[in-house]
Amino acid sequence: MPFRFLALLRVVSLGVALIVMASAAGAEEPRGSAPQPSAVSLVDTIAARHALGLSGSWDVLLRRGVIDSGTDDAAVVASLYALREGSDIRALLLVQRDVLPSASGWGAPTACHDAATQPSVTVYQSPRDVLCGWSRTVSFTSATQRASIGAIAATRLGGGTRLFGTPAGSWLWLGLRVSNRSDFLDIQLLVPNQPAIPQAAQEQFLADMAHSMDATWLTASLAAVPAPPASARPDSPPAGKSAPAPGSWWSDGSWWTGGLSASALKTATYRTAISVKTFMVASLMAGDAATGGAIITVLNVTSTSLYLLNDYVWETWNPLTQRSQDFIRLVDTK
Amino acid sequence: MSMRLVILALLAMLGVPAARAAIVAPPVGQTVTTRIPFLNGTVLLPPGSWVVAAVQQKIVADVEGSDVASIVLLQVENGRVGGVVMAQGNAVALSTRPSLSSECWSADAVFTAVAADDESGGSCAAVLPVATYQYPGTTGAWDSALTFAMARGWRVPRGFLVAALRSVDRTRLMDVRYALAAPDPSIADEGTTCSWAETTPVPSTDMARMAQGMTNFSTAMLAVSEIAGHSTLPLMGGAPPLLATADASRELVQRLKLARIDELVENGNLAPAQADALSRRAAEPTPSDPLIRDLAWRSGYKTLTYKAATFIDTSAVYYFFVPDLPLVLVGSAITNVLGMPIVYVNDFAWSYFGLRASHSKQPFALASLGRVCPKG
Repeated sequence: MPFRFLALLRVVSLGVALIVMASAAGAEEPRGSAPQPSAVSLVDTIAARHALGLSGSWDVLLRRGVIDSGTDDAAVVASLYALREGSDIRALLLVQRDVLPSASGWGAPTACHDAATQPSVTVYQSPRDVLCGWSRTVSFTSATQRASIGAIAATRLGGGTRLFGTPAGSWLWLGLRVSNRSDFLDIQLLVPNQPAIPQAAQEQFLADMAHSMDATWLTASLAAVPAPPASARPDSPPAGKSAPAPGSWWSDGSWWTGGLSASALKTATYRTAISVKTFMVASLMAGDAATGGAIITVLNVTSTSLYLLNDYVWETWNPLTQRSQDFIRLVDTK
Repeated sequence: MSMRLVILALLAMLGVPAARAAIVAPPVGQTVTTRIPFLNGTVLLPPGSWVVAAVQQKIVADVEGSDVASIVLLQVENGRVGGVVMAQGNAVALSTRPSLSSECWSADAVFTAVAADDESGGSCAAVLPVATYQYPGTTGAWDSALTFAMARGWRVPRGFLVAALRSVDRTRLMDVRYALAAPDPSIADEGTTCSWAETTPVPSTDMARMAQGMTNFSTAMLAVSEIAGHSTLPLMGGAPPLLATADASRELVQRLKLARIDELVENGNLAPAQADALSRRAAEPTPSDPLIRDLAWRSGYKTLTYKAATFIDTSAVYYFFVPDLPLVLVGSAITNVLGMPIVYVNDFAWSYFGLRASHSKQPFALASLGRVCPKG
């Protein structure tokens, strides 16, 4: 009987120990710290899918620090993680969110529409929300285009810039931003670009990250979801096009539904209002209503075409969007 | 041997994959106050105790994503259901932005307001008189709630005034309906189902008071719903009374913001001095929409580029008919200067209302407590 009791006690103790071990594994820093440690496992998982080689242990350099970003007086909650290999930094990860919700939405980072950024993906962008990603190659040793580590990361690393001279001369700086009318989540990642990561792999990584962020950023924690099928990848501009302008014809599928119909309606209301006034001025100038009528007939063709063209060009190449908002930058570039 | 089996069983239990995720909501029968967690958000409750009468997750035909989670709470006074809260949302992310509720444009509504409805999402509110379904078998979660109420001998009134609030974004929908029972005398022994809801030609004092209270309530909650529907931030405190006496939207929105600051302070992420500064910022009135400012400038620039081009065009056409250059230049200048305000106003109006225009996508009809009473 005492033997059975002891055996039962051992079993219960072992069970408790196993459960505690499992719980402790879930709470391991930085993977278990609230509320944005899941960004680390998200990046780990997606990077593994695309063979970016980020396996290892992440150190927490900053956990949920509230920082004034200097952009539109927006305070952000930021976390910074470093993937170390000995004394070398193998990767840096910066995650930031807004502290206070906005009533009118958030903008994209400059890099999402920067011609120097290559490549970039815009899954969607409206005047109120955005989901985009970008990547660019940076060097901390180049004499001509030298980048430096952003102030927050440099402070946390303690003379971090020196660390980035070795072992890689070339680094890849990737970022993603997802926002809605109220909140945003911004992730920036810095990884060695030696050997050089092909652009196609960068694009796939960004698309995969964007897909998972879109699906989970408003849930309790970020998580990797199955990669999107190739046919469902974000719209990319056709060959020869520059950064994808929101609402542009290639992302909307049709030049008519993509903005020309709105421009045409706008033109119609404008011409209705303007024709009466132009007719009166033209008739006064010509001295008779018949000539005034002839003038307005011709102007209704030429001026209408100009209005339509002007509006369409504006809406296609310079659509109404939120101003770019960079918040905290992981890297400062000249 | 048996010990090994037990250990193996324990290990197997640890390795068992989680079953399909349950809806995050309190269980049926539980009494709750102030607020409840629901899906990834929070549903604020008006004052008093509420009993969870139904929690359901079911496939809704013809709706992409299809898994809709619902919860119904009842407030009971003297054996009669006096208030109902019904919350519904999609349990699986949608691929097409769901529509706002068509009730927000209903001609039968006592009050409607659309705070936003564009590509990114939107939110709206409506107050409607609803003749409730009285017997199970009519509609999902309300069925279960009726059965729950009947089992306890609670009487369910025939008429409710319902404040329907819906908030949507690109992948999610949250629909919360707050219902207040119509006063007993106004629905007693009625011949037609909706006669109690009529406010014209002779307004019922009780109904008019209810309509005003629910309108105040909806106005206050719409501002909260717009933020809460798009954000996962915790909501602190509860909703105002269903018969709200004044618009409390500003206070509620500030409470939302302060909750986020409090959470950061509690977790040690924010120093008190920083928290004070942020709290002061949160208390400031919402700044004007920067997009509208940008829009004003943008319409101006568009007008200038168009007018530069059209000045040449107008001059050429005038000269063709009236070959007098000084007169043509003066005429063209007058035409274009007079036309500038028209161009500007036309463009600004289209862009401004375009920003707020309905972009309703996937129709998303959800269960209700009953049918809306037609006006008149």
